Amino acid sequence: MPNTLWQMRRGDCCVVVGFDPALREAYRRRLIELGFRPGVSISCVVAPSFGAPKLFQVASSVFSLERDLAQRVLINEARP
Amino acid sequence: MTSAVLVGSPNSGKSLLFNRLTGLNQKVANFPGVTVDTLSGQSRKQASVRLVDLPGAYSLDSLSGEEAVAIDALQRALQEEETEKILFVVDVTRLEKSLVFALQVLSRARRADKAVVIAANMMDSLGRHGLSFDATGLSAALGVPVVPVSARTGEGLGQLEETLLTHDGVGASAATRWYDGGDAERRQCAEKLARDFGPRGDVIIAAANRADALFLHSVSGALCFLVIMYLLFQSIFTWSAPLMDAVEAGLSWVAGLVVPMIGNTLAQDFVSDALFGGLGAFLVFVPQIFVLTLVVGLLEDSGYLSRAAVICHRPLKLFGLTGRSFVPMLSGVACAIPGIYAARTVESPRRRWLTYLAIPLMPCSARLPVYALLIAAFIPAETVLGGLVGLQGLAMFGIYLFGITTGLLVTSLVSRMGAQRELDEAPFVLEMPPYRIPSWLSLLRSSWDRSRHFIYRAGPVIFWVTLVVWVLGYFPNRGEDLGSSWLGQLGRWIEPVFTPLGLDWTYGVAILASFLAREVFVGTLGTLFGIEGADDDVISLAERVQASGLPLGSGFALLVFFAIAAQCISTLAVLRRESGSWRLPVQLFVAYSLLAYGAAFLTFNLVEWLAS
Repeated sequence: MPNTLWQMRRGDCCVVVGFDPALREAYRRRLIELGFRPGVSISCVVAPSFGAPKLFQVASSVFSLERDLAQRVLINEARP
Repeated sequence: MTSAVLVGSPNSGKSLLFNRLTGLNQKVANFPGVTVDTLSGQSRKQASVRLVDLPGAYSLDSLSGEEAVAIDALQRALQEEETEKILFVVDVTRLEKSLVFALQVLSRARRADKAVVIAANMMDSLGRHGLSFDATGLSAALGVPVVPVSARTGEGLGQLEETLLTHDGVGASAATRWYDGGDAERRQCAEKLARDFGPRGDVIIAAANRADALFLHSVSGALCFLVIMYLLFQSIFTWSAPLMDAVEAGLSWVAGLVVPMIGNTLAQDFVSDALFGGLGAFLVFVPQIFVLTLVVGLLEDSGYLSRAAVICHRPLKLFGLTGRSFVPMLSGVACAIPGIYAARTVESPRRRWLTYLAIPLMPCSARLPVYALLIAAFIPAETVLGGLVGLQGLAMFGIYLFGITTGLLVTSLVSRMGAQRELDEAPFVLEMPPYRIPSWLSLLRSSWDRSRHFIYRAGPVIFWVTLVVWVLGYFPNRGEDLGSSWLGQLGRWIEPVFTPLGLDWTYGVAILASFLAREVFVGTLGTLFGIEGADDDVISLAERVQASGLPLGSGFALLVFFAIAAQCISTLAVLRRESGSWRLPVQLFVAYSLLAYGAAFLTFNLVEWLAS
């Protein structure tokens, strides 16, 4: 079971390593456009409970991603 | 005469800058086929500068397609002869992101031989956090003037206009290495430029993240959301009440002054019944529309609405919608039409279609006059819980909640009716804009515009309807007996439809007229009671409704009917344009009319049974 963006908790940091092959091409491109590129470090700003979308900071922007999407972004490992 | 187009990302404060530069006297050009407004105006201080405000975009080649219209307009403007200069607005608090787009535009502008001036906006935000920005350095690196400004405080605007007028170089050739190149290269350039000249540290984003931790927390976030939404609905009543009283007092003062001066009895009756009774009854509610637009705009400008969309995503998903449906639906609380346009940002076609179904059920401001009238007539103006909660505000909250709940039930029902389940469900991604202190200047301006627009759009319709209603109700017996007038005869013919709701023919006529636009209801009723009223005192319409002996059940039935029925021709027309065929608007109109009647019938019987 690979590590994904969705496992991050508030304050965690990680580096993107790739995408789940099941992620549709259009969304992969969209994510790259937004800055979620392999090699980029990302931190988790807010991770509410009840499965609500989590907030991730990439460079100087913050995005909210829902589970279906965050689960398909592969990361090295989430550490505080 | 110098003509310049304003270009920048949607969140760069571009529109505020435009308003600051052009002042309040600008013309709105609404080009057919293009659903976003392109504004143009003369600069206030430098009369020889003409500015064109283009809709915002994030990049010249967006993948998502939601900004296609904006990008199209931008590409056209870059090619046009008329465009001499480009005023590019960057947000200094998010320099890197703005610069990626700026480099794209600079490269195109150089090819099209247009001069570019960069306005480095949001300087006041930097000042508040004790940060600085090297405009001279960036200007030297890019080869174009960079002017630090703050559209909010007005700082640097004079210099910006001066630069815009005098600068006409295309960009020094030494700097071209920044312009050309691929996407990845541009990103690296932007990153380097932002690092070299931009504000240091991420103080601003850290502050925003702390606020997000509060506003999006599972407990405190939900609590904040509920409190903010409740305040929104209370404000519609409590803040606008003094304004409405003032308009009403002003109107009856004018009526008292004007009516006795008219010699002719017929003209006198027309002015007091149709003009002051009909049109005036509608004007009284304009302050509420003003306040509502103001509060929704305040939330939008502060950056909170995007957070609210995140909070609502999970709950909305249960009803077949997405967090992106939240902003269109909340806009629908002001007016369904901007809401339907805003639904373009819902990426999944299926969920966009479901959002279309929900928007006409959102309690729009045109329903407000009807709700306010009925609530004022049936709910006592008392407070409970030590003056904290007004009963009328609570009732308004209730009927608003009813509309929203109905909308969600409809979408959840329709989304579960299998058959057209779609595999392509676009996942939810949303950028969180920075928190900002809203500018009162632009908020008041847009609320004023909306109210004025509402009067201009609805006013003529209401005038003609009240005129027809008045003529039919006044003749042939010159207002002696409304019951035997032409309208009375017509009314009794349609009365059987409304009897099951406990409504007599006067209300039936008003409901029929309100299918043109719901706010016509109040004007029509005002005219009818105006003819009927034996005395010439202008008393409030709510008191006349009370005096007409309308049963409590019928009052509630009317509220329910107006909450559901899609009585707005403009909304249906816009739905046709956005969905591409008449199918959706026609189905929606028929279904919601039947649902409205059925629900009103049940409400009437339930309330009357409970009351007896």
